[in-house]
Amino acid sequence: MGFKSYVIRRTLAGIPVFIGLSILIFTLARVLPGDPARLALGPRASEEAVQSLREEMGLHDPIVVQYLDYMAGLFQGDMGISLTTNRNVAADLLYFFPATFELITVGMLIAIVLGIPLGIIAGQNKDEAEDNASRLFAFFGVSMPAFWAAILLQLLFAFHLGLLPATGRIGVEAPPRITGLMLVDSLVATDFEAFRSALAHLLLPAFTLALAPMADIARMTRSSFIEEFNKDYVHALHSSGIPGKLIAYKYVLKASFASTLTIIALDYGFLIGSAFLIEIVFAWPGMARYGVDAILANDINAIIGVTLVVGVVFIVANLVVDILYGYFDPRVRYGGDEE
Amino acid sequence: MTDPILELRDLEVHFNTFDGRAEVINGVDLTVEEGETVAIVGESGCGKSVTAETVMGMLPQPPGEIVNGELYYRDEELLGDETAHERVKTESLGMIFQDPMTSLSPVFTVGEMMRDVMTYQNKTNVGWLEIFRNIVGRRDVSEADMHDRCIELLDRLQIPDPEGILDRYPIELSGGMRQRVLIAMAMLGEPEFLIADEPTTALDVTVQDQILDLLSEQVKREDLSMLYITHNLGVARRIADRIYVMYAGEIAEVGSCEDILDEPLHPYSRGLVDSVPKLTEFDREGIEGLIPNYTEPPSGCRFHPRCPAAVAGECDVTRPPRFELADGREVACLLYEDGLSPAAANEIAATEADTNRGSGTTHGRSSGPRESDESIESLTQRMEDANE
Amino acid sequence: MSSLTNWVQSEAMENRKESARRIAYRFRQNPLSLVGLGIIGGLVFVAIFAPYIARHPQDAGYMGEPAVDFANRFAEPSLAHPFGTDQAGRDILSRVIFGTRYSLALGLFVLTFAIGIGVPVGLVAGYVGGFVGQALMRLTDVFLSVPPLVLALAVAVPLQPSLRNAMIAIAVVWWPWYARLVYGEVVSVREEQFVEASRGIGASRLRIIFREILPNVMAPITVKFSLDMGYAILIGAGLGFLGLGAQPPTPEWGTMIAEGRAYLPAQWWYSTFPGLAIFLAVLGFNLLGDGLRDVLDVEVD
Repeated sequence: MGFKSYVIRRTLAGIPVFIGLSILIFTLARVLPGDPARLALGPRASEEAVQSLREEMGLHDPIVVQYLDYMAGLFQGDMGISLTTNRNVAADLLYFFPATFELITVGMLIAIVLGIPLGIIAGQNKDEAEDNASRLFAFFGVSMPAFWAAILLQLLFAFHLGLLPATGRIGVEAPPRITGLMLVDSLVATDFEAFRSALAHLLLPAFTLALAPMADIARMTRSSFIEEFNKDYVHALHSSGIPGKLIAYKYVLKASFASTLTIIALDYGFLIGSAFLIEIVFAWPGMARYGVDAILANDINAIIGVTLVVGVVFIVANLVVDILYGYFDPRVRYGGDEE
Repeated sequence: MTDPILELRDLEVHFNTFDGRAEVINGVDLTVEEGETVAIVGESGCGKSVTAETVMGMLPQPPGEIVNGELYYRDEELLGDETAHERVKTESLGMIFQDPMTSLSPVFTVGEMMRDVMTYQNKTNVGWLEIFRNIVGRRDVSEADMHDRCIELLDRLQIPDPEGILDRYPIELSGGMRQRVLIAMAMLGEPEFLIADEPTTALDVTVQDQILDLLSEQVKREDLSMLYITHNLGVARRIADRIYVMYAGEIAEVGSCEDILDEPLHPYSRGLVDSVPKLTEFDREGIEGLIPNYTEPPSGCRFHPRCPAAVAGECDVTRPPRFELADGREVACLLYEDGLSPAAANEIAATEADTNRGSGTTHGRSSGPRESDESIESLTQRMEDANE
Repeated sequence: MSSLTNWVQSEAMENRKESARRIAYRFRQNPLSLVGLGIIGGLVFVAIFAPYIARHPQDAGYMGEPAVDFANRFAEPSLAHPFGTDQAGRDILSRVIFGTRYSLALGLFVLTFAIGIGVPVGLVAGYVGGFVGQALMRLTDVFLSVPPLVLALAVAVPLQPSLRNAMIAIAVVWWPWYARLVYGEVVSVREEQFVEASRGIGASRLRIIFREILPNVMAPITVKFSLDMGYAILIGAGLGFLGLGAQPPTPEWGTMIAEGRAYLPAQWWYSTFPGLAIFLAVLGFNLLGDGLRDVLDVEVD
């Protein structure tokens, strides 16, 4: 079976998951106790007002009809009206999502770029000082609450040392919005002042976000590196004259990277979760603020929208990782759908 | 006789385990002459693979520990000199492993591995730049030359469609094909000395035969020396010039193939030959029991609890040295202490065995844990019966 | 046959004793997991005896509403108040000590619930298989396709923010992890020889599940339980931090950090020390879980 058919198979497998996800979120939002209309308007609103809002939101229809209506709307870019902003949720998400996406992407990149070498160094010096230090760091990294680490780093780098801005996304006039990604937009506008400022603002939150996945990636890389290094083929290749360095950085690394990838996929989900907390601490104008506000205001359409987008990001991230996995490890392509 | 190409002297290897210190190799001497194929034969767990790993310098340490011993390759001591061992390993030794499934990198194609073997043949110091260039896919050696050599070698190992094989991943190949590729890889490094650790055990019987033929063909063609590890006397007879019979980390008997198979001297070898059905005229008795516990090995001769000819008060007290009976014919058994002829020793052994059997104290059935192992067998049998 | 059964059982007992001994030995070889065990032991002790350990239990709302002492607000860390005081003059150390109770209770509740649902689902899906199994596992996959914190947020909405509801929300999103874990184990164990063998002897399905399969999934569940305690505490604190869990003035760690954030950077101790407590608790469970993973030789994620 070729790589191409593997990619197609994997992509198609994501569709039922998306449909299931949308059903789940929709059902949860409807089945759980509490009347969305009543919740939205508050306990002092008149019964008539609640009734008319119910009508407007289609809450009288059977749930299946409601779901189909919602999905039909979704494909036309209509995710319902947000009760807090009075705009279409789709428009709101389009506005807030790029900031969150920029944050989690840079966060994940930092985690990968630092985590993998850390794991390799530890794995190559098993049970020595480097290894113990890196393992200790890994334990600290996964055990620190992200929002607490954020506050500590903020205290240190922003308030105490004054090296980096404490909150916000940019300190100068923002470049014209094209992609919504500040780093990209500022480069497109060749506004390097804005780029520098955006980068400075991004550094602390992204690094905080990266801590836990970085630690996790380092741990996984270390253990799979050690495991691979003890396999027969390492001895076999070595005995046929291939230098140790090449075996370590070509053969072992590629084989162990496959299992590191699975961890990266999982971590991506956790990272999105922590982004919700980090954005609050750093006043990052992303989806989390929007989501939390929506939750506190019982804005059901916005909540469904936010959860759905997060789910889709997670599904896509998993898909990308699966495809990379297949690229790095030919064994996967020949396996079944399980694993 | 020429100088030996490989010589192992008084090797002792211990393993630190949860149950204590296991004395897995207990004073092994072994020589391989230039151009000779030597087989180490013994049941699983007797320490033959540990011996091979020590020679290859790939004994996992810890838990393993080389307590004593010297290893000479062309008169150069290797166990005390890691750099020399490393150099000899990459330049002169080649290894063929038991399990072709795990002995090839699962994430690179056969061709990629073979090209790397050729590129770094006999190169000791490889710089970081070159490593990096390799990883991004650049090499200094001509791809076309390498390609031709690969094809030629794969052809020689009777691999159909060698062109196609080069672009395949190991998972796409059958066990026999993988083992051929593995042999090709070992040959690519142009070794002088091959170590083969049960290379045919994981394969089907018919494929085993082909691989064995191919391997001995290569050895002859390149005039290689080889150390061949197996538990199968039949295989040893086909491929080896001389046989070392190993039991519980000690060498029980040494001799040419004919010597060992036609006239086994050590009671253990006799049992071993005995358990090969078509080769024997004896009653098929085989050997009772299992390899002993290495953390508390039996006193005296390690074989005495299972030995039908064991003499109480002697075999369980004195560790038998290796008696040289003739040129290249050695046996570690007290029966041969007084330079006894094999025939006479055989007779003594037979009477001793009879007395033991008569008195009902077959040593092989005395200790506790072994009993439970036998019961496990019978239990499995019953479960299988129930299944059917 | 009866002597054979007796023999099998006594042999199994022996093996169990032997492996328990082995596990204890390997556990002692791993100093970090002992540290983890120590931390957790300390936490449990503190949680149980909080009223006797804390110097100002009334500040944490012990026996009544949390006391206030505005004259003493925002005292810096000192001998009298090692962690300082908050905006109402309450001793933060005492509040952090009582916070142990909330976090441990949350973790225990969430995981008890998750295991109670997830394990049977996984067992049924894995052992029964067929359409039911497939349907259950697809449902599990869907739950797993949303990051737990985010899904918990979505569940927390219609329920009013409170510690109890935060627990329910987290528990609802947690069980699929156990379902998948158990499912995977069951599928691999199902085909193994000893299960085949007991089926051959004529053992019933239930018997196979309880005597053969459950003991085999105990090890990975134990490891995951320990690791997840830390993670559940993290998520619980996260919900508290977002204002969706325990409400002030409950001395819940995440809630306290959120409150303290308003007084940064001047009153740095307010947010710092409750965070330190979370960190320690999570670290303890992670160290223990990691040690157990090595000792029991299982990989879970």
